[in-house]
Amino acid sequence: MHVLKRHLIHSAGNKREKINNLETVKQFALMGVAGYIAPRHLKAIKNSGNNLVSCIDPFDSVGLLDSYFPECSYFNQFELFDRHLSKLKSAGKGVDYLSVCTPDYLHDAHIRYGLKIGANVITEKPMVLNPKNLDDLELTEKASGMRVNTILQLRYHEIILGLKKQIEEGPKDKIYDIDLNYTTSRGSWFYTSWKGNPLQSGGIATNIGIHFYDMFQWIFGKVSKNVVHIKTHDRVAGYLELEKARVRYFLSINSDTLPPEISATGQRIYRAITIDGKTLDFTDGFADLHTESYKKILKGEGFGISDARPSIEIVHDIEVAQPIGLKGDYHPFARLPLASHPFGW
Amino acid sequence: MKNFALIGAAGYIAPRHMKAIKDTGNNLIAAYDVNDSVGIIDSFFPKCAFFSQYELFERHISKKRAVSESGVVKEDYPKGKLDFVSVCTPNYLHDAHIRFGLRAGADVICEKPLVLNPWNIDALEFAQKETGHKIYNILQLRLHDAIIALKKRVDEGPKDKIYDVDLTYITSRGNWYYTSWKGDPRKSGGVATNIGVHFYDMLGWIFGEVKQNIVHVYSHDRVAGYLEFEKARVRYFLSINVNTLPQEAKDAGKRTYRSLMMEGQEVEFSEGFTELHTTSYKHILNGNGFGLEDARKCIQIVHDIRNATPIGLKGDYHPYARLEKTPHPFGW
Repeated sequence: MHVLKRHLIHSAGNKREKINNLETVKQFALMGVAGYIAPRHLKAIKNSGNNLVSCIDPFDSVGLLDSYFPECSYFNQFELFDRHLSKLKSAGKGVDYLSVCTPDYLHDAHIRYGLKIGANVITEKPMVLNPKNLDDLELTEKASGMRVNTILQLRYHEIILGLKKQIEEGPKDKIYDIDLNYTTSRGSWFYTSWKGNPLQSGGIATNIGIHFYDMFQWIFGKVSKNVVHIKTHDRVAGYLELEKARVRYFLSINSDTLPPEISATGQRIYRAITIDGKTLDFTDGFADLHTESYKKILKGEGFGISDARPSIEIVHDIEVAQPIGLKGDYHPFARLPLASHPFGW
Repeated sequence: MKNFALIGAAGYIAPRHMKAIKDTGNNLIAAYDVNDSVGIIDSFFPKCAFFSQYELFERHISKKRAVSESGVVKEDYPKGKLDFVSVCTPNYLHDAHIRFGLRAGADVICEKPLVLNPWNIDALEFAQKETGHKIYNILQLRLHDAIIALKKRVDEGPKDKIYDVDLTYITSRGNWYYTSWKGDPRKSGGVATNIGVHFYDMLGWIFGEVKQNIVHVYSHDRVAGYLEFEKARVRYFLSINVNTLPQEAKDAGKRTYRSLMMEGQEVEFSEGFTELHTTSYKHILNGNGFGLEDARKCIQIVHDIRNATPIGLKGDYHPYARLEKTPHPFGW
C-alpha cells in the first residue's frame, strides 16, 4: 500500500486525490433503516463521502435506500445480516462503522454487536437507557479496541455554541436562572409505538428531553440537585440545579399544553428557553447536524461514552424519581391540568 | 366530511393517501400497521387512533360502529359513521383488507393491484352485494392528462386502425427489493403485477379488449412480452434492473426510464405521476371512482403474464428482451 501510495502521489495531482479517496471512504452498516431517523444517517453517510454496504430492519418499507445507496444489501432478519457482515469480515472487507438507529432499548445490544464484529459504532441518542449499561460498555469498548460514538447534535448548533462561549467568558461565580418550555405534540400513535412504552424508550424526559439535559450540563456544569415535580405519560416538569444554573423545565408531547397563542396559529411545536428572563431563540439550524456529527466522528472527534454519561444519568434519575408535586420552585406550566392516557382497555 | 380508516399506515404509499384524505377535506379517524414507524400521521391527522395489532384496530372500528349506530354522541369519538377504509398494504393482503372494510360498513379505496387473481374479483363482487358497500381501485394513470389526451386521440382516430406501440419502463430498485415482500412473487405478484399493472390498465383502457398475450422473457427483475389489443400491437419491456437502462439514461445518472412509442413517435408522459392520488380521491368522492369491473382487465392481464411460460426470443419481441440476464442477487 505504501509503495502504491507513494507512486501515485508522485504522479498527477488528480490521481493523488483519487488515492486519498480510496483510503478515506469508510464502509458502513446500519441497523434500523426503516425508522424515522434513518434517512438522516443515510444522508450523513453519503454527504461525508462514505458508503453503506449493508443494513437491516425487521420492517421492509425501505425503498428510500434507492435514493442513497442502491447497491446496499438489505436484510429483515438479524441472522442473515450477521452472516453477511461476518462473510465480509472473513474476506478482509469488514465494515468500518456500524450506525445504530433502532428503538432505544436495543441500542446496547446493537452497540455490542458492532464492537464484536470489529466496527466502530455510531449510535443515536440516548446511547443506552441506564448508567449501569455504560459501565459495562466501557469495558467492552476497551477490550474491542473500537470506539462507541453517540449523536449529540445540539453541541454543534451554532446558537448553543455561542451560548457556551458567552457563559464561559462570563463571570465565574454567576448562577443563571433558566426556564425551558418544550412541547412537541405527538398523536395517539405515539402510545401504540415503542416510543410510548417506557421500558423500551424511557419516558418523556429520555425521549424528547435528553438533548436539552445534555446541553445544560455541557454549558452549565455538573448537576447538584434533580427534582421532579410532575411526571406522567405525556409530560415531565422539574428542577435541575447545575454548577452555574438553576433550571426549571417543562417537557410535553401533549398539544393541549401548547401556549394558547401558539396553538391558535396551528403550530404543534413550541420551544422556548429564557436565561435570566431573556429569550434564547434557536428555532432553526437543526436540519444538517447529523452530517456535521458524522464528519467529526470520522475525524476521531466524536462524542463517546464519557460524553454521553451525564445526560443519561440525569434522565435516568428523572425516570426513577418520585414526583413531589407542586412544591418548591416549579415551572409555571407544571400547574396545567393533567390528561389521562389515551388507552384504557 | 367523510370519516376514513387506513390500513398500511407505515408503508411507502400511505402518505399519499393521508394527503389525499386531507386535501379533499376529510378526516382520518383510525389507522393500522404492524410496523409502528408512523410519526407521519402527526403531519396530517394528529388525533387519529393508531394500532399495531389487527384485533385492537378491529375492536376500535366495531366499537365506533356500535356507538354511531346507537345515536349516542361521545366526546372523544369522531362524529358520524365510518365512511371509507383505505387499503395500502402488501398486495396479497388487499383482498383480506377490502373484505374487512366492507364488513365494517364502509366503502373501500384500495391501492393497485386491487387483487392478484381474476377469481378474487368474482368473489369480491359477491361481498359487495352482500354488504351493500362499494370497492374502488386507484388507477391513477387514467387521470393523467397526457394519457387522457392519448385516449382521446385514439377514440377520435380511424375506427379500424391498429397502432404499433413500444412500451419501455425501467424503474431501478436496489437489493432491498428482493428482501421485502415486493420481491416475493406470492406476495406482490412479481414485476409485471407490481410495477406494470398501471401500464397494462392504461393500454387496455385505451386500446380495447386483449386478443393475444405472449410473454417472451420473464424473470425476477424484468418481463418482456407482446400484447395484442383490438386497436394496438404492443411490445413491452418492464424492468427493475439498473443495468437495463439505455446508455443515455445511465450517463445522465437517472434510475428511471419511461418511453411510449406509438407509430414510431414518442408520447410524452414523463411528469405528473405523483400528484394523482388526490385527484383519484376527488373522483371517488364525486361518485365516479373506478370499481371492480374497471380493475378486471388489468388483473386478468397480469395474472396471465405471471402464469405464462415464456417463449424466449421468438416472434415480435421488444428489442430490450435481448439484454443479458442477471442472476437473482440472493444465492444462499
